[in-house]
Amino acid sequence: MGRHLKHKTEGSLQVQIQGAGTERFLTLCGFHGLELWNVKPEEDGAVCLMALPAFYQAAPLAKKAGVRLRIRQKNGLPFWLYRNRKRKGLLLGTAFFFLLLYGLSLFLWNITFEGNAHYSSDTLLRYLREHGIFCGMRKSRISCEELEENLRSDFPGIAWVSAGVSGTRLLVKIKESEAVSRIPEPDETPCDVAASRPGVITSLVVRQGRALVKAGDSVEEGQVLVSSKLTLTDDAGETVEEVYVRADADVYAQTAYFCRQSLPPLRRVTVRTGKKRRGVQLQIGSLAFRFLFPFSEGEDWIWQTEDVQLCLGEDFYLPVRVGWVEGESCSVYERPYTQEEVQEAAEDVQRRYLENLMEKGVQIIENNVKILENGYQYEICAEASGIQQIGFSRPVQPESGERARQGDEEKTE
Amino acid sequence: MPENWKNSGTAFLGIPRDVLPGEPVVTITGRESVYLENCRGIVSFQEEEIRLQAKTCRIRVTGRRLRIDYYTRDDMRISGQIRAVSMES
Repeated sequence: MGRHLKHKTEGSLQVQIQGAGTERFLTLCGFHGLELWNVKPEEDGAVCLMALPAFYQAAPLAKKAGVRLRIRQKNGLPFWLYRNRKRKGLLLGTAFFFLLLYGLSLFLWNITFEGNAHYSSDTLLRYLREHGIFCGMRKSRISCEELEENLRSDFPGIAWVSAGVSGTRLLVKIKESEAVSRIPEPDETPCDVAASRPGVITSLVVRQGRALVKAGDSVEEGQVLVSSKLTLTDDAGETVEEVYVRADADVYAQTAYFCRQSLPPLRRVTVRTGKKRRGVQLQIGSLAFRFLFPFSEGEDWIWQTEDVQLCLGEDFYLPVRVGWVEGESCSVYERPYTQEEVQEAAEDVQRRYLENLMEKGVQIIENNVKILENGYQYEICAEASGIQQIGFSRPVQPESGERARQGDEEKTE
Repeated sequence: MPENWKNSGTAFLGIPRDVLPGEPVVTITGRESVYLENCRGIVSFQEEEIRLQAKTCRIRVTGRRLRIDYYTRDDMRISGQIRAVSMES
């Protein structure tokens, strides 16, 4: 491939060698390092292909061997350019093409991340956009050093980052650290522990503060469970001092969960007819063009596109995407739900709801699902009961005249 | 005498003979291609027969519609319908 391309760019000649010293001429060419290819014998000599520079070097060798060289055919870029030297439009087009390439090379057309596992590429792209780095901006405005510093400071999980612009691509190489680089400083602001939702307390472990409830108590949402206010008394039982600490406790309660979802009265059903259309999609910047055969009106189509960004070499990305677009014809109609479909939908709602609760750390004790019909549409009610940590820290404002002090001496009542 | 010395030397040292400078190397692929290294020149060039000069011998390639795909200082490839490749001293 490389040799072929070299021959095309250098230009090649098909040369007829005439004379008795054909073999000697071929030997001399080989000896002087002149490459010959497609050498075929003919009646009074041979015919071969040689590169244009080699032809000039071969002239004295032909004289030495006593052969005559006749050019039969000229191939390659130099001859093509010479033949088309009078075509002004072609020259202008070529010049415009290179100018366009130069213009495109001044902008950024691709951003690639390497080595990121914890932080997704979408997150990092959004971050870059917020900091003014996006596809289509001038390359000269990008400061890689600043970008590296910002990424390191704003993403604590990134241990090492290297950013560089190569061609029209910004390549950001990331190494994420597995350990947390900074230990968060403990917050010592006085806080109560309050209930995030109503329930019956099942267990209570207080590390700091004064418990106001015990296991078995029913609590309401927002009720203070562990108070931040500690009262210090003397031997006589008189209050010496009141201090506010940051209450800390694990409060587990059995709570009820409820979810209600309505199904639309009619179900929208899409049936694929099997008729397919395939075409080409071309996207230049934000403009997209589809090249498809015309199709009849009133048909619904499901489109699927698969495209790639054009790239010259390894890093010279262009703002052009090409790909295939495939459409499948479908007919859409609406009909009432069947009993099986309602049951299926109810199970799906329940499963998703329970998964959501378990993700939040709820230990499910029991659950059930009900399907209600009001003559017009179905309603799915998913109920569950589970144990969950309901305590959350809520800041308190110390009363006037009292001193808020961060509790050095931990006291649990 | 020097050739014998060279042969025994390479045998003693366990060096492959194709490493020796100037020795011709002939590689035949199927019936349609012969690849040759270290050929010093072309003695005769016809459609049915190509004779080449190597350092120690002459190589004769016979067949039909023979042609040289490429020919450089170091190597060459002959293609066509190969009938025989023989060495002549």
